[in-house]
Amino acid sequence: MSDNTNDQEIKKENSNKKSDKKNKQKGPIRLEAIIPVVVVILAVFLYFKFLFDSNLKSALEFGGTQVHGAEVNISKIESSFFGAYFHLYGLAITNKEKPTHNLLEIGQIKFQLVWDALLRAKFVVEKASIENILVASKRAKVGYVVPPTPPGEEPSGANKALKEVESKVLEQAKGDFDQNVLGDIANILGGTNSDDQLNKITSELKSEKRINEIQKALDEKKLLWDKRIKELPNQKELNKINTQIKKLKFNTKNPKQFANDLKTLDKIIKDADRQIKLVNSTGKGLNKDINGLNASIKEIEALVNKDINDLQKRFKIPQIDTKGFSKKLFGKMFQERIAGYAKYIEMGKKYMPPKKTASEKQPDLIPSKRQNGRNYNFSRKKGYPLFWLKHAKISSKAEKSEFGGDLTGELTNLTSSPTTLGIPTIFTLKGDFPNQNIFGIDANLTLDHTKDEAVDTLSTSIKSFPLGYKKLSSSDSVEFAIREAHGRSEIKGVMKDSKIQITAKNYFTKLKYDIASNNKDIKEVLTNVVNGMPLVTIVSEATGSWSDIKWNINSNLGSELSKGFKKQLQAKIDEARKKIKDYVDNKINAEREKLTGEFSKVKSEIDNKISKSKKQVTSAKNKATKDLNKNKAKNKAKKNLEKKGKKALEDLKKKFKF
Amino acid sequence: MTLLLKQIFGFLKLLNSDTGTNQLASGIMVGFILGMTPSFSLQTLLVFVLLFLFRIQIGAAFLAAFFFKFMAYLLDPTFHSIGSLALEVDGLKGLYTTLYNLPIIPFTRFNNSIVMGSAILSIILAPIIFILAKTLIQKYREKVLKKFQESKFWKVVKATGFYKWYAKYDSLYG
Repeated sequence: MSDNTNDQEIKKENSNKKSDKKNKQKGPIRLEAIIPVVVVILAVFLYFKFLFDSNLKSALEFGGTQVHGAEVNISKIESSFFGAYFHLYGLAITNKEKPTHNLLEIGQIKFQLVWDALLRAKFVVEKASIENILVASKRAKVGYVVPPTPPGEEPSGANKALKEVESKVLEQAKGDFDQNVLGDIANILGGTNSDDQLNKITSELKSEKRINEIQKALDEKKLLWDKRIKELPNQKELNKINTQIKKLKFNTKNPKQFANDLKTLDKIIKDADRQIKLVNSTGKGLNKDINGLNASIKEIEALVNKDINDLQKRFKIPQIDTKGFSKKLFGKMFQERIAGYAKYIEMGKKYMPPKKTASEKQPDLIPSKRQNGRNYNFSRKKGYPLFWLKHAKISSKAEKSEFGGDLTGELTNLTSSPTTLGIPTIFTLKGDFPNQNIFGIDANLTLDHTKDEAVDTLSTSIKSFPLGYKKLSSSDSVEFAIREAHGRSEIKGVMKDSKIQITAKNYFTKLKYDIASNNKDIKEVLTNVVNGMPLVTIVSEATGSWSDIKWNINSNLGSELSKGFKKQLQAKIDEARKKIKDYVDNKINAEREKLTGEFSKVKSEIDNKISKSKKQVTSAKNKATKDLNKNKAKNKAKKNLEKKGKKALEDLKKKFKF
Repeated sequence: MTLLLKQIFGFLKLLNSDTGTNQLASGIMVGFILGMTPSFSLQTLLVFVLLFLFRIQIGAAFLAAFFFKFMAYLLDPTFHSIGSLALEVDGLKGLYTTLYNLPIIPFTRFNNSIVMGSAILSIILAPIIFILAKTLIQKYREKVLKKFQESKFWKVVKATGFYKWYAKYDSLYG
């Protein structure tokens, strides 16, 4: 019993101790929060120490791959918050067209950031270095190429806008740059029967469709016009006017009757005026309709030409003119390069925005959650843009590396806010890649986004470089490609706002070709032309906006090939064209003539009716006006006579002093 | 969300207990400062650090911040006037320019009239809010809570099994 009591007491004592502990007054500092805070700080520190660099590397690799369109690799990233530096090693950018090789490989990029700017949440790189540049180096593993977006599907993510710019350029002149010109020539020379193809056409021609539409419109208009003409004053109404005029007596002996007749005649004239106006307005309305229809009929000629051109394209009848030929041979090569530039230029504009125009500065119509107050600006002694790379030195030594280059260059004032800085970004690069036989690289790029209108200028030249395999035309029947050559290149470009003007001049010597064709004539022409050309020049020009680029490509190779093929082909092409023209003419001529004939007939009928009606009404009005004037004069003379008589009488009365 | 709810329940429990008057009052005072500040800035971060470092009732702070945030909408014109007045004092322009050019300090957005006005007003009113909150809590406990605890309704509730179970649970895990 006593044991039980003791146990209970001990339990009670323990419980009281626990309760005392629980109720013990706690100090003002939340000591129990120290451990979680330390744990969080430690976790953040450990993440940045061990994981941040690898996560940043993966993020940059993924983003770079999506933007560039082919695999981008980074060997290592080293960054330090306290040391304020960022080092990137082994940047390798895969060549999209040749994924076994890199487009560019950079050994190391080092950025030293400024702490003073970091404390203001700005990233300012005082000095940077880019070293060990390799071009076209072989990759250890074939690079991944981002597949093109399937047709009908929209590209996703941040990459979307860049893809759109690229595809906007690539979609243009797709037909002109199809690289199949020699195949089409082979078809013509091979004697593809265009009669058979023409017989297979079952669809309606554009011009034919339009003729039917105009015929229908003419039928509808005819009914309307008839109705409006019927509303014009007819002979019966005009006779009525004449009868009314004849009824008027203009009896001067009866002044009241005379005045009434004058009033009636005035009314008749006003009626006639109204009818003339009606005739005029009806005439104008009908003429407008007729002119509209006439313009539509004239359109038919243009549609006939379009039909003929469409059919020529459908039957792949090639253009054997110099410019067209050069475009087909070299256009795609140039276009793909421009599309690549477009993407990066647009990206540059996004991250280095020029000054905003007044309309862009307009704030969005979104009410702020709380009032914004007023920001007072005190004089700023130190201000930085969000990102500013002041100076980056580019240096590279080829040494024994197969793909390395002896390069020197610099990149200055690359910033996210060029307008704040007011200095344009300038990039220069000079050097050679001796082991790859690339000599005399001289590139100058200026990105001036400091003003309202962004101006980018590019001037690049390479004195000598080897050209690898370049396919110029490919089809089942003809293969034509440059196997190897030595090239010299000059590219000059200006982009003001969104308008570009890029000129690329390429000169190739020591050319070797791959020519294969199942058509003897084509092979002969190609071989003869290329054998007689020690130098091939290609001058390409692209002008306009990204969505509407005017391409101009001239090449002596294109010109000579077109001349060579012209001799053999012109007769056959002319024959095919004539067949197409005849086909179109036969199909639409009868209907066109019927329409134009009917239109002319209707037009002349309307013209006659309107002019006749106008003549009749005018004549009736003139007669009435003449009568009115005559009677008014008569009335006036009479009144004058009466006045004079009265005055004479008054004078007589005064004389005889009545 | 659970943490926030826990803090709010903690506030209600503390409010209806006999202890923690200073914690609750300081929570309301901190909430007042948070609510008056128009946007997230460096001083907001500082207030959060104080909130976690010192034994301030977090639930009270959040509830007060929520309440005072609405009040602040109406007071914005006043903040703007006070802030403009302070920022336009000629004698202080040198100090402001120095602060403006210092690193980190501009993150406080002190150069904004509303931020400055709300900071001045909330710092001046903070001790008053503290005293007021403390007095009101004490009055609430004396007048409202005591009467409620003595009411028949509360006695009935206390006699229920559910309440006993809750009281036991609270003493063990609360």
